This record gives sequence, C-alpha cells and structure tokens, in this order.
Amino acid sequence: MDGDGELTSFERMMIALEGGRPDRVPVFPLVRDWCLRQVGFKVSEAMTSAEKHVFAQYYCVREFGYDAVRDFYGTHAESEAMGSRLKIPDDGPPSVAEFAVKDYNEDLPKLRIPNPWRDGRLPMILEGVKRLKELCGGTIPVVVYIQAPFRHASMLRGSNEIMRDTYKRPDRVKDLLEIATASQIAYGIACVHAGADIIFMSDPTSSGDAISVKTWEEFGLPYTSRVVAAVRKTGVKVILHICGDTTDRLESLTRTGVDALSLDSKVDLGYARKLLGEGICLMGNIDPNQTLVFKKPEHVEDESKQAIRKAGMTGGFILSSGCGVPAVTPPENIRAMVRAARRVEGE
Amino acid sequence: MDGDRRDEILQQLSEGVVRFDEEQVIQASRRALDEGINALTAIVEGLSPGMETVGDLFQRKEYFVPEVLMCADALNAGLEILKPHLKEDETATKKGRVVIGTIEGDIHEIGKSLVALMLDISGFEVRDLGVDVSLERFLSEHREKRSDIIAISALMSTTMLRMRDFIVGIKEADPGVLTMVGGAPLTAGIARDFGADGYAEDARGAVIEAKRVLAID
Repeated sequence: MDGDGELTSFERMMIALEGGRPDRVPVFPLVRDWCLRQVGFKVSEAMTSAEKHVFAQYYCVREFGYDAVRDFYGTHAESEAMGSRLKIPDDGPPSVAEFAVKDYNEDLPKLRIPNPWRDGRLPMILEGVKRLKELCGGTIPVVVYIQAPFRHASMLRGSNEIMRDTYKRPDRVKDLLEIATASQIAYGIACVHAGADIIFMSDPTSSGDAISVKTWEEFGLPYTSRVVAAVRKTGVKVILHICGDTTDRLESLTRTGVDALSLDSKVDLGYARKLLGEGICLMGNIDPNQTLVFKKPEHVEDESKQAIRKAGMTGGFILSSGCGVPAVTPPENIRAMVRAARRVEGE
Repeated sequence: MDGDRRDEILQQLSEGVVRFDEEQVIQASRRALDEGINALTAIVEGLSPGMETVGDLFQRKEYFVPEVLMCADALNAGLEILKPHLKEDETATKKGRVVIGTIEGDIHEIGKSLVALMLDISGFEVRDLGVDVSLERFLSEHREKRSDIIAISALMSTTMLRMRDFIVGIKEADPGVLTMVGGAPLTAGIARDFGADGYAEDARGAVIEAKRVLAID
C-alpha cells in the first residue's frame, strides 16, 4: 500500500518530534469530522459513540496512509465537564452555548477539577483513546487533544468576556487560569494513562490575530508551560497548536517547552525554521480552506512539497494542515499530501 | 463657545475611545452636552474618529481583540449619553439599513460585532442578530426592517460553506437586497464564488464596502 521505507508511522512521528530525519516526512493532517464524513457518520452520532469515532479514525489512517490517529471530537469537553453547556449540531463541530462562569464571585468557588474517568464526556473520550491504542499501539501514534489553559478558561467564561477581563479583572482571570491549569494537568495525565502517545494542545484564544504578545505572555505562556511540563514528565510528546498568524511570537511559543509547534497557514514556514533553528519540530501548514477544500490534488501536492522544502529537508518536520481539515475536503487532497511526502525527497 | 474649547472636548472624546478610558468618554460626553455641542457632532467628530484610529491600530497589530473590545465599551458609554440627544431628523438620515449576524452553527462574535459597530458609527442603521443565525431569522428580520444589506459572518471553514446556500435563499426571497460576507476563512474570490455582492477583510473595509455596494459617496 505504500512506498515507505522500513519505519512504522509511530517511529517516523517520534523521530520527527525529536528533531530527527526519518525515512520520509511524516504526514498528520488535523482530521476528525473529515474522517467521520469518509465513513458516512455525522458528528452528532460520533459525539455519543466512541466506537463510531474509533472506526472512522482507524479506517481513514489505513485507507489514506498518513501517520497518526486522533482522539474523539473532544473540543471543549473539559469545559463541559466543569459546567459549560455544549451545543452539538447535527453534523458540525460542537460549540459552547452556555458558559459556567457568569459571575466570578458566585461561580468560581463552585468549579471543581473534573474527574476525567467520571465527569461529562471525558470518560467516553478516554474510552476512544484506549480503543485506538489497542488497534494502533506501537505502530501508529495516538494523538489526544486537550485545550490549553487559556482556551479552557475562555470556554468556561466566554471569549468576549475573558478578553475584556484581561483588562478589567486580570486577577480573577488568573484565579480561573489556576483552576484551568490544574484541570488540564489532571486531564492530560488521564489521557496518557488511557494511551495517548502525543498530546496535542490547542489554543485558538491565543491566536496572533486575537491577542498581543504581551497578553499571551501574561495569560497564556506561564499556564501552558506548566501543563506541558507535567505531561512531558510522563514521557509523552506535546505539540502546541495556535491558530492564525503567530509570526510575532514564535520564540515565545517555544518557551512553553513543547516538542513541536503546529503552525497555521499564515506563518511562513521558511521564516519560522530560520528563526527557530533546527532544535524544534515544526508542523504545518497547508491552508485548510483555500487549498485543501478548493484546490486540485496536483496543487495540494505542490504546496505540500514546498512546505517540506521550506522546513523539512533536514528533519524535525511533520506535514500537516494549518488548522482543522474541513469535513468537505475532497479525499484526493489528503492523498495528495501523503504522496508529496513520499515523493519530495526522491526528486 | 469658542472653537478651541469645542475642539478640546472632541479631542477628549476621541482620545478617551483610543485609550479605552471609559470615564474620560463619559465626562467628555456630558461636557459636550452641557456646553451646547450638538450630539451628532460629538459622535461624528469625536467618538467616530477615535474608533477609526482604533481600527488603524488593530490593522497595524498594535491593538488586538481585548483592546478593541475595551475601546468599543468606551465608545458605547459615550453613545449611550449622546444618542438620546440626537434630533429625530438626524437619526432618520441613515445611510442604509443593515441586518447582520454570524451564520448558523457558528458562535464567533467578535469580528462580526466590530463590523456592526463600525457600520453603526458610520451612519448605518444596524440590526445585529448575534451569532448562530438561521436563514429564516435573517429573512424575517429583513422583511420587518426592509434592510438594504444582509451581512453574514463566518469564522469556521465548515460554517463558511453554508454561506452559498444562504445567499441563494436570500436572493430567492428578495432579489433586490444586497449581501455582504466576511470572516477569517473567506477571501474576495470565495465571496464572489458564493454570489455575495460585497466582501471585506476587516471592519473598516466593511464600511467602505457597504458604501460601495449601495453606491453612496
């Protein structure tokens, strides 16, 4: 089924995450609902069935030949387990409909660090992780999503509100961040116990299009770093994904201590590589909308090869989408990414 | 009242918005009224230029979302004081009516609210339907308000793709109404492809674009 060398996907990803150069560049598009679409399930079905999610992930990784599987659609699940209410559309990603912290004085004391094996949707996500590990263990890495503390806090409080609060009530934001950090350490470690090989920490709230470097360094960096340190102690790798243009804070992002930075399509990979050197694994950054949804496979392959040439010729690179792959992305375009990784070095 | 004093108050309004000093904006708005400055002048020559500067700072990446939201709060504090003093004919001479909202399935609010705000202070009559807005709600609001423009926002690629159907639905219901779209995953090309009449990259662009599609100025 492939023209790969002798390495398994697991080995390939781990070598890249350690900055090394495997037999070929590993490919890990950020797919979840896309996989569900390939097997004919709706998001709402998978939100109540770990089995359907696991089937979709395992089918797609085998069919398309990329190099990792992901956990179940757990976006905001930690915030849900702490009292925010999710809205789950029939066939789209969930969003938070009601936030747990309406009033700091009243609601902060009520927040409890969730028990990942008991609260909300978390046990189902962990069950999915366990099953993926049983299917893939040792050959394909299991990547599990957790929210960065600032993202988690903003899904407990509301994005607009937390943005204002960084000026109006910075101390209360930090109180909330303490709780969010403790929650993510507990959940991150539970994910490792369930079988995660790689923790994928995502923080759209710290997007370079949303907050300044100063705000990131005050409300993002210190808390994210604590979760990274706690998770890495278990031996598991950590990838940090921040959406949007993060060109102005690349060095600051590496100070979180992560193994890899997953960069959105607005960041120039060549610039990032030059600035950060070869000590850190970079992941990215094919434009999920303009390229993956709309362009033809040959263009996707070209852009993928360009990305590899910019940041991956000496190792420490994972070819990926800049952000989540939309469910409507043509399957041929995901194949084109994998093809690019197999062909680029033979040219 | 002498011109210097008038200029000083307008300056304070503008500066208060830029520095998101809500207290300063409230004081200056009250002073403006006390000293006989026309409420419309205070808005158009005081608060609005302040918000324009904020738009510039945002574009230049000196201000980000938290700062812009704080500025918007300061602006709104001033508007709250000044708006009741607008004369009726001043509120009636609006540039156009806009119904705006974030598309169904998408709860991203910040960019859309900023566009609504900029259109509002630029003289449009704006009805903001919030987030997760269905086609039916856009249409029923449009029928009630007889709007000139329906503006739709999306921040996610998945929800963005629904815009095409929304635009078709809107044009079926009323071929005369104009549509504008915006949001992070969009480009001018995608907007055109969806059949939208207008597209802008940011809130200031949206004001220019709204004037363009309505052929104002």
